[in-house]
Parts: sequence; C-alpha cells; structure tokens
Amino acid sequence: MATKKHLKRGTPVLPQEIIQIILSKLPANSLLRFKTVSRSWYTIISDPLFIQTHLCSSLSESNSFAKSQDPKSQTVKLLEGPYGEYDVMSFCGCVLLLVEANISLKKRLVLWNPSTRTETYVWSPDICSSRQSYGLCYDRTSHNFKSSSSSSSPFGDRLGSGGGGGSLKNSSSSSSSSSGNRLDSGSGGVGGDGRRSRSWTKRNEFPCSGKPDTSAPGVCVNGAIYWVWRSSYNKVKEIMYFDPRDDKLKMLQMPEDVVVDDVSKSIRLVNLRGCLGLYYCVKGGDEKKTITVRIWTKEKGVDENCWNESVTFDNVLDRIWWFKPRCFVENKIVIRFRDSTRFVNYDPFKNTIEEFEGDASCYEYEFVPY
Amino acid sequence: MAAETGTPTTLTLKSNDDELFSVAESAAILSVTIRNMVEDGCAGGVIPLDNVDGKTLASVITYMNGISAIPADEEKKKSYRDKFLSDKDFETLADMVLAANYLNMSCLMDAVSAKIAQVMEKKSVGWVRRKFGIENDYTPEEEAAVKEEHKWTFEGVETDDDN
Repeated sequence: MATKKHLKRGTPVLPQEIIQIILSKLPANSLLRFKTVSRSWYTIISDPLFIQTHLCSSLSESNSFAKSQDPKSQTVKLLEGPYGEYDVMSFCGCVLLLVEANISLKKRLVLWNPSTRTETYVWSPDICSSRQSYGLCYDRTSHNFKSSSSSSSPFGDRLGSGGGGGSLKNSSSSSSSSSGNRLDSGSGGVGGDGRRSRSWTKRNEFPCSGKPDTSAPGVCVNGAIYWVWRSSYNKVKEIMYFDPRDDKLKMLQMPEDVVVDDVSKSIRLVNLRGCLGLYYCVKGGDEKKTITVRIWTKEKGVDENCWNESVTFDNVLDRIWWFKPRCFVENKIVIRFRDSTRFVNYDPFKNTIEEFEGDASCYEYEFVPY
Repeated sequence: MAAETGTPTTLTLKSNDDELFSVAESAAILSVTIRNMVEDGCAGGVIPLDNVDGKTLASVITYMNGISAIPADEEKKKSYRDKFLSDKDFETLADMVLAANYLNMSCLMDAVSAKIAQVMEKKSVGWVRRKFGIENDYTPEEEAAVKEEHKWTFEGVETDDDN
C-alpha cells in the first residue's frame, strides 16, 4: 500500500513539485550552483516561471534584506562589478542601477545583479545633463524593471529661471540578464536575450516646477521611486515619487513638522527594510557647529501617507552623508558623532541604539544588500 | 455536535505501519486532508494515513498538539516551529515534508521546506545528489561547462563530511 520509495539510507525520494518548493526558498547563489546537480534540476532552475516566482518572493517586502538570519555571520565582501567606473544610482531588490561616471553626453547605464553577477547595458535615453537622477523599480504587472530618469531640462537652466521645467522620463528597460533579484534568468543561457526589451520607451514626460536634488539618488521603496525634489519658485523641498503602476509622478506629503524652507538643509531618503525613511538635520548652536538629526519612517505601502517620527539625535557630525543605512546588517542607520570615533547603530524598527567605536574608513564605501 | 457535550473529540489515526495514535480533533484538523474527512463524516472509526509511517506521524502529531496550544500569536508560533525543527536531520525533514504535503498542512510544509533549504544552502553539489538520491546524468564535459558558468558560486561551500 505504501507508495513511498526509499533510498538505501532511508531518505525518501521527493517528487518534483516538492523539490521545486524547496528550491524556491534558496538564495540565487546556491541555486546557480545546484544547476550542476542534474539535468532536471537545471531545467527547474532555468525555468522562466520559476525565476519569476523566485523574484517576486524575494522582492516582497517582508523578505528583502531579511534573508540573513544572523547579522554577525554576515561578512562584507568586495565584489568586482562591471568593467569601468560607475556610480550606484539606485537599487531595487538586489539589482543595482549603475551610471557611468564620466562626462560624456551619452552614458551607459548598467543593471547589475550582484547575486548572479550578471549585467545588462543600456544607453541613456537622451543626452545626459549633470543634473540627472535615475531611479529603478520593478513593475509587478508587466514584470519589468523600470528605470526612470528625472532631470531638469537644459533649456530651463539656460534661461536662468533657476530650475525651469523639470521633466521625468520613464522607460521600461530591462533584459533577461538582470531580471532576477536573487536569481537571474539570462545567465543560464536559457530564455535568451530579446525576450524582454532593453530599449527605452518614453512613457510620460511631466512638466514640473522643480528638479531632483542631484546629491541624492532616487530610492526604490514599495515599488515606487522617491526623490527629494527642489521646487523652483518657493525653494521648498518636497518629495516626489514615480508610481510604476500608472506611470505617473506624484507628490508625497512631508511629515507635518518638517519645514524645509531653506534649500541648504539636507533631506535624505532611504529604504529601511521596506519602509521609506527620511532624515534631515537642523543646525544646533552656532558656535559649536553641531547638528541635530531627526529621523522619520513612513508606513509601508505606496498609498500610505502616514509618517512616524522615530528618533532625534543631537551633537552629530555635521555632514549628513555620514549617515548610511547599513543594509547588510538589517538596515540600521549608522550615525557618527562629532569629534570622536564614536558611532551609533540605530535600528528604527526595534528603536534600539547601540554605540560602538569605529574605524571611520569602513564607512567610506557604499553598502548595498547582496 | 461534539462541542455541545463538552468533551473534546478525539480522533484515531493509523500510520502505514499500523501504529495507532489518538489526537484531539481540534489539533488534527490543522491537516486539511483530515479536516475534509471529518467534515465528510468518515472520521468515525480509525483514519488510515497510507503515506505516513509511525515515526513521522508521531512527530507530526507532536507538532499539531504543540502549535494548536499556542494562541494566535505569529511570533510565538514561528519560534515554536523553529525549535521543533532545530534538531531534525535531513532524512526526518524529508519524511516530514512528504507527510505535510500529503496531509495538506501548509504551515508545516512552509516551515519544513524552508528548513531544508536552509540546511542545503551551503552544501556541495555532491552532498545534494547523495541526500536527494539524484543520479548525475551529465557527461563530464557538460558538467564542467555548467560548473564553469557559475564558478564563483562554488566558493565558500562546506566541505563534504556527509553528516
């Protein structure tokens, strides 16, 4: 009556559908290795539908970044990226959007997936201005990565109107070789290129009265791309976001008590484990030149507009870029204090603060989840 | 009907090696397979579970009782599942994933398959072949070519001590 087959040592033979369920819970690195197990495993792992499921489950908010069970066992690894010099503009899941770091007019953009070590090159959609900012997000309906570029139009600048008409161009560009967050479809040689477009399609252009703050790249959270935007007439900063579901540019209400009437005040956005985080600094007493930093987090979800203030730090080193959300250890925010090698790890979710002495040099790198 | 009498209903489950187990109906219906039988009224006597052996069934019942004793608190349930699976070896996990699939218990299925994935994550290709009983059907040339394609994924793999 028993239909179960046993191996010599008593392990039951698992049917294909159970193997598939187990495999879908593995990280990309292991999956790529296990393509070597047998032909049938190769077929499962290279299957476009399997890759899609794997990608979606790894992009789901609860899951992304939370892969590592024990932060202490995580090691920082230096990876060799695509050949050339690039700036990391944005990341979505584990796929990074890199932009060539040079002054040429037509730049190469690279979608790089460090978990599969594959990259896809695309040329920038139009002439790049130095004031261009890009963002990357994933559209679950069309199963495409979308990259949006926002820039102030060159004309606006030339007219000297102080910003002029900004525009946001969105293009759906993706190719098989970067379409996996943790697992990648193109690398197997199955599926093949050309299955997805890697060209830019101009979807929308939004004339708007402002431009992105170029010192801060677009942040992908909950599937949308957020930018700090500088409005041209009243010099007020605001948050704009690109919603890939309807390809529209929208404005997000700032937290109520954030008054950013002075453009010199820095506002930064980060992705904190699936929540949009905002931090900005307020100048402290004049003679000491220290600043106070306040941090907010927004409730999850693109349509959610509720901000929660989480914490305020005083006496922080007066350079906001010392703030780095350390994605590789569970998205903590690292804060460095003035006149010391003191660092603080702030966890906005548990609301815990952990102080440590640090080596400043280790914070000069950008960290991305991997 | 049983609830009205005030005494909890007990079901008798029979494994494929003819072991009998008593389990509270409220715990047993975590299995959709068993729940359907109860709803169809065929749970009066002994419920035969032809695809589960006694050792595995005992373990599944321990899980059913343990998890149903925890009130609706996802955190606590999760930590119970983690603890429950922490000392299981690969063979036991494989038996349990089959049982969970047959009994249609999604929470156990999720937990066990995730645990198996966690166990395999850093293992070598040889280890996986042995444990899953898979025959290498590549020619040596093909195998080398597939391996070459993702060479870096072979870094940091645990050495085979075959535990």
